[in-house]
Amino acid sequence: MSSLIQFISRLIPLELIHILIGLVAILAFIGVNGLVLVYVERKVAGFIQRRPGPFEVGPWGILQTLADAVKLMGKQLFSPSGGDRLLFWLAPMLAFAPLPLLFMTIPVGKNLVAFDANLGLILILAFSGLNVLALCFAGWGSYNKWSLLGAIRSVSQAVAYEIPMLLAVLAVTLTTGTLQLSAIVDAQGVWPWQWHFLTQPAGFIIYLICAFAETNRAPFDLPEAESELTAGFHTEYSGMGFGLFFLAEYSSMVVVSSVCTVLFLGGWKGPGPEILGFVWFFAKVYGLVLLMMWVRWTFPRVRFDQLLNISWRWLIPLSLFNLLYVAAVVKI
Amino acid sequence: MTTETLCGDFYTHCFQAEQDKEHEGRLIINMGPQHPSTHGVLRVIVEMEGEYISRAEPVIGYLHRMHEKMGEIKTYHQYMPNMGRVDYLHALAWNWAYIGAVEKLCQIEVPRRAEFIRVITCEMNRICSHLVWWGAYLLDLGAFTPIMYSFDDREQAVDLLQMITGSRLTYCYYRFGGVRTDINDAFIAGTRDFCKLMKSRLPMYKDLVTDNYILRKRCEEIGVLPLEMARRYGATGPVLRGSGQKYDVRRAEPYSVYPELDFEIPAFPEGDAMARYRVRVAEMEQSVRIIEQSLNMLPQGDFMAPKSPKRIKPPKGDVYFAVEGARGKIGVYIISDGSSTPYRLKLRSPSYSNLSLFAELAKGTLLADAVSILGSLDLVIPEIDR
Amino acid sequence: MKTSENLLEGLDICAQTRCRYEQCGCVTAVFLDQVQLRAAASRLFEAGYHIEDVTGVDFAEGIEVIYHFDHFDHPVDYPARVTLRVLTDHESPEVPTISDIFSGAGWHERECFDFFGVTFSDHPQFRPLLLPAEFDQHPLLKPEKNRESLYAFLGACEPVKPVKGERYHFEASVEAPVEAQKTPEALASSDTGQSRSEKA
Repeated sequence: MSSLIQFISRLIPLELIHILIGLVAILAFIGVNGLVLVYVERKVAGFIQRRPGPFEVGPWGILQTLADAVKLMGKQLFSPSGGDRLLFWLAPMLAFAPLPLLFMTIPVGKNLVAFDANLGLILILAFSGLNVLALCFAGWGSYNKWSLLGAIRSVSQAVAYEIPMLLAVLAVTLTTGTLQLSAIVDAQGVWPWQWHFLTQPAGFIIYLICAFAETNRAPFDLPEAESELTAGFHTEYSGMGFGLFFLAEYSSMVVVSSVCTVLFLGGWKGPGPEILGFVWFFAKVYGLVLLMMWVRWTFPRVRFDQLLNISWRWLIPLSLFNLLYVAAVVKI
Repeated sequence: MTTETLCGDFYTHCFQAEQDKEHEGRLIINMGPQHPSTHGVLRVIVEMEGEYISRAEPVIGYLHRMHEKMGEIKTYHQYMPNMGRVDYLHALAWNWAYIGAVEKLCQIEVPRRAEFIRVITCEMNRICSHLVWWGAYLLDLGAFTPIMYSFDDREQAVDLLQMITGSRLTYCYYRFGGVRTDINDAFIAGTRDFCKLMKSRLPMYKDLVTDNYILRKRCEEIGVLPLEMARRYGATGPVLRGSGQKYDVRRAEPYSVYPELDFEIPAFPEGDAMARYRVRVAEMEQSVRIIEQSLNMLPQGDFMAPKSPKRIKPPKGDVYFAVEGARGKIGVYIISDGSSTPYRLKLRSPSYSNLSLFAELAKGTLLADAVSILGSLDLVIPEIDR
Repeated sequence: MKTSENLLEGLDICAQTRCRYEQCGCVTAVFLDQVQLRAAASRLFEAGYHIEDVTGVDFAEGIEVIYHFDHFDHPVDYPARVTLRVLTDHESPEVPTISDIFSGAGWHERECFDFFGVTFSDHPQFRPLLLPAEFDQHPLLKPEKNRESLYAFLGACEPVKPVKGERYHFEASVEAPVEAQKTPEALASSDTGQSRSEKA
């Protein structure tokens, strides 16, 4: 038996197996997470809006999203005439494909990470940028003016919000001196006052605001602003084309929340045995996700120029000051 | 782009033809008729420069049903249900405008109790209408939750109205010389409870929504409508009062028992979307006041004039009767030739005039602001198209 | 009434309807010649009136275009609702536009074209509004046999300054038979017609 494992490990490096297992787990997680979050989102919306939310399909309506998923898969896929079919169908795939990679480097618990890259943070930031390209393709390929406007909005929004986000992240890496996510978690202690959000509150808030904008969530959901651009970039998508965008949105919510947890909220660390680290991690992540939902169902949407003003006028200078503050106070 | 020039219909071609030479190639885009924020089937053709609207033109008529022609064919009684379908949000005001016009033409006396019942139900319907507007407007601005709250409250009022009128939306309750049914104690008690509920809810709305920073930034100084322009276009209702003119048909051309009731006409001079918003919210408060007073003053007696005619054959002549609807001055102009059908029946809908100023108001604004302006005008498309 | 004459003083008013507000909802109704329409509209605009609607009625003598104006303040020295009436013929109905004076009239005039086929000259955006562009009928025009005479409705009309227009004249209106209006079935009509004619 052991010789067989040795044989296989000689054939395929153990690291690769590790990554493959991680990938499978992550893909399963993304799917389940999508289902759960859609359900949670609707229940949260129902709670905020004083109505029950889904409650017909299955007990407490928990099978509602499953039914929706089946409906989405069963729908015919249309591509608009006159549109660029390649870009049109590439877009939802491109929105979805990088997501497993993003989850790869996130340490869920102690040693519980699919691929502990020493430049993990860079990897996440680089691949999450692909999302903008996907929206851009979707908008262009749809041959629809509203979609195009949505694509234009998403690009300028992403450009505007990537900068303060990077600067906020940079401040954290300045203190830890590493881009490896597990090392950043290790730099923080078990108790909340040892976490970065207290030493760098400005960075935490900037990151959080940018996270809303990067995931196109209300009040910054301008690329798909329903009441303005009908549905923005995904106006023309039906069936799983739309489903993939949807899945990507919920997964990227979890990604930004995970990164936020790792950078500012101590990752998997918390009081109690280390083996229960993943409980802490998911509690923090879903806490942040719930916060995002709460905000979505509470606030009106900002206007586009206001959105850009928040970034260029407030967040970027603030994040620069934050960087200076961190460099001066924390480092010295 | 040859396909670009070929596509589009008559209105798009007209719109394109009016484009300035130097602006040629700017994006022309159809907002509607299936756009979420046009509340129905309004279509606005807009010429965009980036996110800014350089020109806009509303195209209407998608819901046109030719009510005026129907009026010439149907008898006076048969035409009554049509009135609930003109403006489905404030149907009772349209009921009243038509009934009132015919009553004026035939000089039919209405019992006092019926007048009070009309006031109570019409004001309740006004609150319903404003609540729907409130929710839908915030939906336009991207806030999803308020509409659920407003529909929750509206439900109470609609249940009460259903109790006595039998319908929930397209009412046909008023009759020549009174109302269809008398109100009962359950309705009176329920209405008092509803007034209490609204009084507790309106401050909550203010805390939750009106004072929200994002909302204020989306409404304040958006779509500033000068009073002079409002007059030029014949805007009425909250749109006009949002420009500072205290003009309300209930006071300017008093009808029914409104002169006996104590209420104010809210007006805000800013002229922006926020002013129109405030006017409507303040109007809900005033309507609650009117309902409470009317309930206290409600006399006993007939709810229908005992000598109310079974067949209406008004004398020759014309009559113009106006009432204050939730969107402004509702006017019904009837020319009677002495027969049992009107010779000509003209419906003056307030939204029609209010929408006609949109093209001028939206010029140079952002797309998102245009949505906000469109919402703040409180349009009901069936009323515009008739 | 005196004040409304002040308001439209100097204009060639063909005929003026004496109406009671309680009865027909407007205070002054004035027949105008087409050439006077724009001048009258300008006067009303300067006096602070706003436009309510523009509509038409199909009569045997032609299409009557009706303009309703109202005042926000209801000042004592001005009447509230003022009605202007202009007559145009069936063959080539044309009326000058007032949409440059009252911008709101623009849409009402377009609607009037849809329903009656009345052309408003010099209207900046003259195209169908409510009805489809391909629809070439005008639904509110009545068939010939159903058209009533305008004079039948002029019971209370008083020719302030009788003008013999090219297309129409109003001398007949004075003798408009008020009694003839009272059909036996007419409800509560006796005092209506009475007071109206008394007022006249």
